[in-house]
Amino acid sequence: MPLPAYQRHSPLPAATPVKIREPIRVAVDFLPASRQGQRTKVRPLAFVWSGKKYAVERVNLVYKRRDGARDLWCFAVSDAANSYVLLYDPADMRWTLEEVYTL
Amino acid sequence: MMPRIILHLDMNSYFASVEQQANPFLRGKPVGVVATMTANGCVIASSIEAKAKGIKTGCRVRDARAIDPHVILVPNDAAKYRTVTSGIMRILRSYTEEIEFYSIDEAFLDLTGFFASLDEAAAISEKIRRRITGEVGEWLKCSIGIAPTRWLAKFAGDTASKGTTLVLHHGNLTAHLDPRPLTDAWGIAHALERRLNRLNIYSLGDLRQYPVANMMTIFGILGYELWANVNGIEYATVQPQRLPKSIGHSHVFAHKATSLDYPKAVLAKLCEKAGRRLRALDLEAHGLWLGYGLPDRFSHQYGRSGGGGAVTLPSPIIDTRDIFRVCWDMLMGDLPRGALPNYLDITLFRLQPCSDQLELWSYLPPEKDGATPRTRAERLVRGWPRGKKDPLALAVALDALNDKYGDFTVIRGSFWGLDDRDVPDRIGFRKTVGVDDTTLAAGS
Repeated sequence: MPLPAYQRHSPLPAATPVKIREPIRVAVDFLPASRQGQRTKVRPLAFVWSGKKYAVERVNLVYKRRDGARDLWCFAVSDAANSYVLLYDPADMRWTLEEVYTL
Repeated sequence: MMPRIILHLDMNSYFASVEQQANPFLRGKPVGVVATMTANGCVIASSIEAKAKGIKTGCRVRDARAIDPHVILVPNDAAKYRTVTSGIMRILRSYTEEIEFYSIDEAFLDLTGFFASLDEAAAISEKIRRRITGEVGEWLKCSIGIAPTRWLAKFAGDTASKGTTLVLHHGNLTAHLDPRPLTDAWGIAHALERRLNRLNIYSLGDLRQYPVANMMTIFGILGYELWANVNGIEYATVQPQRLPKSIGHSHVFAHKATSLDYPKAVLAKLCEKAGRRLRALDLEAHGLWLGYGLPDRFSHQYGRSGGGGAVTLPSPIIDTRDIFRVCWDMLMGDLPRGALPNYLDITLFRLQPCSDQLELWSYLPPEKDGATPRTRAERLVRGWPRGKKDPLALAVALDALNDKYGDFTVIRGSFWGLDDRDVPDRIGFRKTVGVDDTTLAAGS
């Protein structure tokens, strides 16, 4: 008997990001506010993960995730090959490579 | 007299566009954002490319993969959508304070008095669109409707082509509205369409021309509302909302329940999330809804796919334990004997600011440390007479710990054993009062 359609395909989605959750070092640029009312922007330039340096080509989205009363800042960035989410915890000034999406 | 000008903004393929914004490798590809990553999971948003292939919002994961095996399915990430919505709201608030955030991706702006005509207001829609792409994300597109009434603005926004603006006024109303089918209208679904069809009303033009007196005789006040909406008469204007009308959470089980322990743990976590938001907003609930779903094996056996009910509470509730106790009693009272649910939802409604009623036997002693209590719950705890057991003290202490060290750092024993897939962070589609408010966003 043929399998139903949904079983013929992998149950795992093609775009499930791989959760890494490893501490990383990040070089950032602090862009001053261009006009009144704007906040200083933080732009990751590169990060070091497992001894290898990855240059950030684009910052695609910055969003915050709440954990209790704390805000954790997520930077969705990409280079020519991969997309990454870098997480910054202002409470202890720690950067984490949260997830990697590879095509 | 200044003409009334209402602007309706609707983000296109919102959740999928935000995912494509965050990850450029998803752009230009069929993407579906799913609620739960199972074969029966629901695609809650499809990208424009996925829609072109026939993968519509609301279809199941297995159906989406059957239509296009290469569709990219991504789990939903509420934090992303909240932040983007917050950015869009910030832009909209720079134009007027009269804003109704109708859902996570829709808003009404009352621009009356700011522009001399509807066409003049259309120019601002282009500016809003440019600011969204420039300040929030270049992949985000929106449709905008501008009209003299809230209903027509929504109709214009819904029927405008993706990423464009449609202006409706009394001059072009009939040409645009009359040929449309009834279900194109906001508020008319298939059941109401069938009732209207019996009156020989088959299009919005038919509805517009139908005698209003007859509509009111047949449908009552709803009849007038339907008739007024399509005739460009304002029935319900923009309604800025300051506080939520309800706080609710639901969960489709990630695991199959084999005993009541698992549903009990899920229910406890749902109650904790709702209770925490309630206390953070300094509100109390006077009503509670509990709903449940049954898997196929039980729905066939008992002849129903689920159940639920609402209660008006004899005294308002704030504490998670009270919420859970009421919910559990309701579930045990309604669940068929031997059945196990696969879905639970709870909603706290009739919300009011915490009343003074609970202070009848307590008093507020002077603050020794000078700290100001943040919420009513805290004030109650500080004011509880010495030596008396305080029912809220534990909830407030747990909230403080979880605020400081992260959500669910300290949990109740009743939901021990649940993992990240059980009752994860979710985002609602409907009214999202204060979605950008840090207090409200927490745990919603």
